[in-house]
Amino acid sequence: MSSTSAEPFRRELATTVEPVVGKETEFEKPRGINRVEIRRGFVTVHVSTRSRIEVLRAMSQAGVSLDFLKLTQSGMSFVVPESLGTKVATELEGFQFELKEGRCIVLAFAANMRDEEGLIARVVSEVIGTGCEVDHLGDMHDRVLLVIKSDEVDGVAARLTDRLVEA
Amino acid sequence: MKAVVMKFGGTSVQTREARHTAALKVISCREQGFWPVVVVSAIGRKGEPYATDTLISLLRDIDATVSPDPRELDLLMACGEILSSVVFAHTLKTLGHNAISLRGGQAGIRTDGVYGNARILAINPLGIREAVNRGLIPVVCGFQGVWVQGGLPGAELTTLGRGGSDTTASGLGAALNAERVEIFTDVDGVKTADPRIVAGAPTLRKVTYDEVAEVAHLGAKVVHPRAAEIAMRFNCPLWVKNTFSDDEGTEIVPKDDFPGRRVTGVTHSGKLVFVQFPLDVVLQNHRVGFAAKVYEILARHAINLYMINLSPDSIGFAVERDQYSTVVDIFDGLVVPMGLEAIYMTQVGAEPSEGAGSQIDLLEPLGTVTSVPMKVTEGCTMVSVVGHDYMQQPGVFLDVMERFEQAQVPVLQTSDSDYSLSCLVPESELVKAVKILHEGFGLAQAV
Repeated sequence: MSSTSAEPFRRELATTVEPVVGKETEFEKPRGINRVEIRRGFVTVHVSTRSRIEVLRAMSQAGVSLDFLKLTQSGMSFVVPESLGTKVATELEGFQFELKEGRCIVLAFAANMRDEEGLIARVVSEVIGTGCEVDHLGDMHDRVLLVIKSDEVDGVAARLTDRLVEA
Repeated sequence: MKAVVMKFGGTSVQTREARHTAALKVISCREQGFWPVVVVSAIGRKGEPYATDTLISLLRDIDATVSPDPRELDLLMACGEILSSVVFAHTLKTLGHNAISLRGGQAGIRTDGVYGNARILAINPLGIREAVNRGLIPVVCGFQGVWVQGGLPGAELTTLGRGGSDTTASGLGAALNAERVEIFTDVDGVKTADPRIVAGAPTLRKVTYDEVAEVAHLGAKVVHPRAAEIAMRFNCPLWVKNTFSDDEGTEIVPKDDFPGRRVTGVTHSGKLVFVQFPLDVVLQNHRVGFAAKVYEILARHAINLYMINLSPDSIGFAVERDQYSTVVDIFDGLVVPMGLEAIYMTQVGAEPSEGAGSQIDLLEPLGTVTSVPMKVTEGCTMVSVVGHDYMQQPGVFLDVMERFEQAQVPVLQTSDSDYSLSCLVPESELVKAVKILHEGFGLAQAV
């Protein structure tokens, strides 16, 4: 096809172009942490066991959903809602376990966490720097999640907001 | 008439035949009554003559010990897309459709001034409108924009970082209020697993923006999360399609359009190294400070961490193998003083290296130096199950761990989130692990 045959195409386009977004538009979220949230009411469970599968089976049969599962040298640990603490303790009878009550989850949100190299480490560093003990840690594409004691959570959230959230 | 933004990745513009096939898709779109706006990546992938990596090597090969200036690197890397857009525009011309190649700045893409990883601030696509008014098909260079306050005459060229061409396409789709954005690649859409591992892994017809972002976060190369996020914010339909087939592809949709729980797929990350510091040699009252210092230094060196594990008696994390040498450089002989009370020094492995040993000799007049050995497990990878509200189901961990135990796949560590469950496994078990999970979660029947 030559340029001559493109003429009808050209005319048609010239008269039917949709108006574009003429004004400038904010496209991407800012870099770094953009907000911090707190979820309250969790317990951390540490189980000393060689038979991790047995523990997972007991929890599954009891209909308990686990979060933040971590394998440790002596066994495993995980997080469940506080409302399930008693049920979990009952199901774990016969196992050597420790249940730490009064835990919260701090969520630090950022767009495209993986593209911001060092950001996850920075969040962890800031949180540990408050002197609080972090039970567990996880990450998603848009957030870092940390499980910490309830009485430390407000201080941690404030520090993350102060140090990492852009005004 | 509405715009359709069509982005073609490296393999889709790699050869003359591939470009011809891609160009026919563009022409077909035009014949269906749409206004195509093409976005192209650099020609070919790693190792190809005009691929971005090859261009970078032009500088690295001069002296690998001298890091290129980020500004210069951006100018160089952008050449790959410029070349690709010119070749693609000419391909369209040879097929009877006049086209014009546009650099990112000419397409109206303005960014911040972070060379190598710029963010789009605004798009004012007057250049595209002008091209269309002249009857030309715009072929826009992906991956690039301009920073207009750089202090030099004219605007400074910037590149958008990982997934930059996807981001260009999605941004233009939003700015043009496009009918849809189509990301063309060499697979039929978003698969339930890497088809190189699970032959015949089905193509999902719909996935949510969050799923696609999580899949990318965990290592799969589908659509970059930045592109998905822009499309979601501006309510712009986003598709993943195959340049080389007529498969309908995968539509990326808002979560509200796809209620219900399910497992989306199995992904795997690249090559990882798992690093642990046992804290038993660190005094109890120093452990928090020591751990904070380790993470602060990792952040300062921009190390990307996976599978972070914190416990009273150890800290651990996985890093990409590409970054492992930096981690060794950081931690072999790193001195961590705790006021006047104690001096700790990290070392790689059980015995100090020559450099670390020298550090100890120099520091000993100041007090006792306690070595904290870094335990290293090389040859790891991360296999993940990604699910849409599925991970809150009781028994998901049991499903995964039981299957791995039966198949004798050792799990070194786990991590999970609202959308995923990941296991760190030896790289040698990758294929087995992915296949087990794909089969175990019935993904062969996924749609």
